[in-house]
Amino acid sequence: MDSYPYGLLQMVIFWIIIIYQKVRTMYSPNDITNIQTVFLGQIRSKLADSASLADELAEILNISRDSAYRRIRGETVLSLDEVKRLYDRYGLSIDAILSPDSNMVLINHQAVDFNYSLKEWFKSIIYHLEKAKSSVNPELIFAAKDIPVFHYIGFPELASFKLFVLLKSVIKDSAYEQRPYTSDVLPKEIMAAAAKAHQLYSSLPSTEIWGDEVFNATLKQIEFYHECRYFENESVVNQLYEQLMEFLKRLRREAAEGKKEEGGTFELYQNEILIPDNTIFVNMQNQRAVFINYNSIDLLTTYQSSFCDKTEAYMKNLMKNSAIISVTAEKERNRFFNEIERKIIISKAKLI
Amino acid sequence: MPQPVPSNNIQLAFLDQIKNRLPDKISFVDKLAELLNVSRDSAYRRIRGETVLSLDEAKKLCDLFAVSLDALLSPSVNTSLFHHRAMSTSYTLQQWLHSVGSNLSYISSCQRKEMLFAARDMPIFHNFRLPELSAFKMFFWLKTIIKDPDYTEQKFKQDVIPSSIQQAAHKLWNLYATVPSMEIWSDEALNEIIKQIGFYHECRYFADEDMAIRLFDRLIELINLIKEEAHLGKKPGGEEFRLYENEILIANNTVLARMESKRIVYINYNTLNLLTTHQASFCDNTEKYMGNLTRNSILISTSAEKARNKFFNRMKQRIELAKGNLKGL
Repeated sequence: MDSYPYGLLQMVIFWIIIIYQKVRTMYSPNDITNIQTVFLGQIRSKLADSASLADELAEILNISRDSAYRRIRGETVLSLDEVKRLYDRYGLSIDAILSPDSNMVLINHQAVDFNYSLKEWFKSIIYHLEKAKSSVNPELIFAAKDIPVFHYIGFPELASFKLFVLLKSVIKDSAYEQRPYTSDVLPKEIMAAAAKAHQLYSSLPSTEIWGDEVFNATLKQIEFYHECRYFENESVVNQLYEQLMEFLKRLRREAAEGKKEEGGTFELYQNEILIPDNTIFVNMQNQRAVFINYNSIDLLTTYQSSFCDKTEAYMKNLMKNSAIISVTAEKERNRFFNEIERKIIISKAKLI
Repeated sequence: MPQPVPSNNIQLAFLDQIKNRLPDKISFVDKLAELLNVSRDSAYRRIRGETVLSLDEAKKLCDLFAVSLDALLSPSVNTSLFHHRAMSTSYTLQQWLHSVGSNLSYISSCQRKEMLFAARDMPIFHNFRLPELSAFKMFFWLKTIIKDPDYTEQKFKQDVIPSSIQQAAHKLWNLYATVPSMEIWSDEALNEIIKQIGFYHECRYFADEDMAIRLFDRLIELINLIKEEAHLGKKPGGEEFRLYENEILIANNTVLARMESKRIVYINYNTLNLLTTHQASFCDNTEKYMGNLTRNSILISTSAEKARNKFFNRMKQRIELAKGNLKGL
């Protein structure tokens, strides 16, 4: 047999196969490496520039560098158990990668009740704050209907009153049902955890968007508790108002300096037209998170990227609709704080 | 050298979830083989965890069976899947209204149903009752929140909002009226809309100078209607309307819908966006929270005439005050 045409045929078949495979990998929906590539690509984007994805995978999955490379090239399929290890480490949402347009979002919710105590709640808050603290250039944005609970914490009576209201009226903890408010009503360990949370918060940079009603809830609560005779005596009430005034002084100072007591920068915006929800957006080097406050104290937490995108966009838009009153805009800042001061004085005059 | 058998627990759990979603008479192996386009033998190997399921295969199954991998992977039991609807320039107001409308229609179609509102702001459906207020609210969303470029240069007058959208909004009010509701209103329920009208007036976003006054008048009209319905304890169509006043605790807007065999929680965040879930433990929590909230609240519908009058008069005073504070432009 003449070998020449046979060789030609072989070559033609060879090329047909190559082209077929190319076309197939380009168009085939069954391309097994596709989502895996996207997933690993997202992890790569979370690594520092100098780090190697292969080294990272080898370490986390406890495999050789060679096996890691095969996974990166899509020659070895990642098992779901491996996906989980990476998921735990990087907090990537798999659902979001599988269906990026999905409107489903996985949310962690932890309701404070008899099983999940205030102490554990603080533990979780401290965990998140420490995580933010340990990352490079963390960014916290608060949209606040009520003053973020951390602020109160430098003032022991005020802080314990706020927490007391949560326990007695929101959670309805039976241990507090019959008790009036006194400054030592809460266990020391809770107050210590609260102090720790405050210290961390105060050392982190934060941007906060406040409405005009940030003090309203607290004033209402004092008035309501007074009416219900939940205070042991009048001097406790007096003390709370005094601390509110002191508290306001500190906020005014921190806003003027653009810095919190423990050194974190403090950027304050005033929003006139929306009453924001109590939402916190945290931007860390390789992770973003959204915390939505609901039912007064409970938190809804998610890391899902598309959800974070939307929240970030919303917050940035909210800032555009707000006036910055920290450091600059002395006149607006004074007007804002004076108005709050006026409300405190009116509220106090009603009771005392 | 034999390969160490890698752990495939999650794959097993994942496939198990899929299996549970199939009707009993369908063979799981056959179905899996068919869906993944592999042999029965390969399907078996995946079910036994001998062959690794790729993420692409997982995606196919997730899409078909609406299973969440995140839910499976996440370490805590306190996680649930929420559906979120965020209005944006791509997800339009029309679509949003439609989606809220189909939820309401579903609730309304159930035999036994009830909606419970924890309302920091007056439940949105009330605004949709009066055309001018309804149009203003939607204009505000489009111009200030969504920043729809079509509205950047627009000033507000009622016919700026397409009539199809106005009709869709009015339909929501009609649907809302067919469902009995229990509403816990905060004392500040009208603060936001009052501010928004004042702000638009100051920014000269109204086409007519007296628009702000007209809107405040509509708001008073609305409050009078609601007051009368609270007095009767009935919505216009005769469905029950129970109204509570809460002074101290409501920090956001939450709705719990209860039907015969189903509960749904809607949480409002970032002004217009909704998070929705059916998850039982979450619904339990919300139910408990609402229960606690009512204990801190005063029922002002049907009974408690004095408290009811005080509540609504305070609202009206605030509107009048804001109206009086409008500066001539």
